[in-house]
Amino acid sequence: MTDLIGGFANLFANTEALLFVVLAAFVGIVVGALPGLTAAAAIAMLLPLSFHLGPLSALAFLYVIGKSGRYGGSIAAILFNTPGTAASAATMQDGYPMTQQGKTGKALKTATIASVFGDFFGEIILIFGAVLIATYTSNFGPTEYFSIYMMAYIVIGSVVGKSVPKGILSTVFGAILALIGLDTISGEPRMTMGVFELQDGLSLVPLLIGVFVISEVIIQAERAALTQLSTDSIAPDKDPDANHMTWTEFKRCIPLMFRSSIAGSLIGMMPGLGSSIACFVAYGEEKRRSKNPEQWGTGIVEGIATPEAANNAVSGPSMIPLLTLGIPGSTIAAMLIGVFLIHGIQVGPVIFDNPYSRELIFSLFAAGLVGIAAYGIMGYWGGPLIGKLIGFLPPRLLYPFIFFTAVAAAFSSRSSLLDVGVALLFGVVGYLMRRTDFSAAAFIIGFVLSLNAEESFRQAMLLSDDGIFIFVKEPVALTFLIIGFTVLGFRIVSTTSRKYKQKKSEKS
Amino acid sequence: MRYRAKVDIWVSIVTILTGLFFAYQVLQIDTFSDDTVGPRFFPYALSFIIVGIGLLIGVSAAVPRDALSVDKSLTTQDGGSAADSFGFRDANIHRLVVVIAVGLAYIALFYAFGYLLATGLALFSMLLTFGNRGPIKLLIISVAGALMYRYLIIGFLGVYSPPGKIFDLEEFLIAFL
Repeated sequence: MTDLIGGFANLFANTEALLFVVLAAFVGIVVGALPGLTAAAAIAMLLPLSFHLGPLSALAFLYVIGKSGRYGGSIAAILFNTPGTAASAATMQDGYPMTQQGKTGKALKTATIASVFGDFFGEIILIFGAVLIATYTSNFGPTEYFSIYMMAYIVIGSVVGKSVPKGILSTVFGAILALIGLDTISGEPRMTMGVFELQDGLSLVPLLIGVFVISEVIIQAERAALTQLSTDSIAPDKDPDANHMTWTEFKRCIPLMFRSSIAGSLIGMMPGLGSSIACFVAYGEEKRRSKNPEQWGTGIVEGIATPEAANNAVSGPSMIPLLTLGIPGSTIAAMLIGVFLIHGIQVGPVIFDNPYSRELIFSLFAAGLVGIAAYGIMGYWGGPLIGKLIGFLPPRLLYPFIFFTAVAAAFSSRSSLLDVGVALLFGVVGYLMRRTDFSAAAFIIGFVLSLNAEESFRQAMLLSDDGIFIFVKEPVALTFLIIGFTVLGFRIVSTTSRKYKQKKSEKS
Repeated sequence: MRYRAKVDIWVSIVTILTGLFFAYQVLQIDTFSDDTVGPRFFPYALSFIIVGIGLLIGVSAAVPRDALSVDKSLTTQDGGSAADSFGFRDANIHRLVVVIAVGLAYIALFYAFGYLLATGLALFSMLLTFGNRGPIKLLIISVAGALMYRYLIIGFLGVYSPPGKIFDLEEFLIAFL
């Protein structure tokens, strides 16, 4: 608790960081509300900007965009029946009907309250959970770390996306690309194809920009950016209670938000699982428990509060694998690794041992809490206005500027036109991945983990008298591998049984 | 053969070729190390995994399915069509090519003529690509956009922008003014 108070003091003493937290809250809401763009895409574009900021400002800026972006998706889901992010797809089911019934204000404010509730819950879990888990993981050596990386590859590849083989292939593809460049141990160039510029390897920033932003621009160009979000279906608010959540409704939603936040936090802690899974798991469970499940999907506040609390509760705990094991549990965490490294901070349990990085992390926690309050205030009173402004914005003007912002970001990270070329190349790769059920998130996480995974493996082999069997002989390492393969097994079994049931129902 | 299976066969072929390409690149790595696990081990292992999974996808796609089974990949949960969620049936390759071509043209223009002119011309082209019309309007937006990016990226962030090799509009304007 003393550390957290110190974090707040540090944050409030840093005006630049505080301003960027507030700016991030606004940027995240707007980006999250724009269908097609995600908080991850915004972070990819703004990552090079963060290199010019102090470490706390940079981390807080990107971290809070991730939080407010999750919330921002609910605005488009409620107003336009189009999820701004995948995580707000469940919110659409009750949010849009409420808009059609003239209860837009109630829907938006319910989403805001639930998002803030879930996010605060998750952030508290992060603050106390990360420190507790780090005390155990700080004793891990290269053997344990390699097993953790393997578990992460297997789990993320298995659960992210629609296809297990393609999910794993996405992570492996990202991993092999990260090995291009000079070998860190022997100094030998690897897979550089004689291109001198590749000796430094591929940079994360153009890869992110290509896969997340340029691929989306290509898809929007295919649609000729014809989609115009319309506010025509928003019915006028009919009665005073239609504009806000009543006290009775709030009391009714408290146990739902609490349970959904727990579900979201647990799901957030697992690498690879994310908001889109959390919101549907929570929605399905609360509907099942409900005394009147037939009303779910017709426009009830519970149908908004549940998924929004769950999806935002993912945000904080998804940082736990990053801070305690050095493994990004989400795409946003994978991007934050870049910021940590640029500022010379090693992620993993040692982050709490070093006084400087410990203070930075607790300041980041404080920034997260302030950011939640900021987007809550902006969203509660400004949500409808932001939605209407987005409705007026023609996508055919917006996406060219998004393309050039992305290109500018790709260029500015190393002042290199090669990076722009790499971003374009991976824009095509990202587009092809999206068209063929590969996972961009798994690809990026695979890329980020690869060099550390290889280094741990080689160090473990140097230490081992038993060769590769060291990973079986060490109990902690073996446990992580078993967890990874168990999750893979469950996923294969559930996919196979779903296909079998589908076939059976078609035949009948 | 179902559409999804056809696409997956091509995915399998491309994946296997990619894995073999990387395996070939790994063979080019010079290694003088006596270590059990040298610089080749990890990329080699990953290449073989890529080839293996590629084969798995290909075999899975080639296995004949029940003729009565509906291709659920083409429907959403509510039964509506979501054909654009998988495959290339509704793909507009022409537009993909145009977007990438504008990007490549931007790189070439930047190298030859500097940041300002490259951004202005490429932004004009991209606005056209997205269906915006009205040459005067597009010109104004392109010029304003180029100046805005120039200020933000080079002026505000201080990113180094090399002058164009053939002609640099910014240097010309500074000298002229």
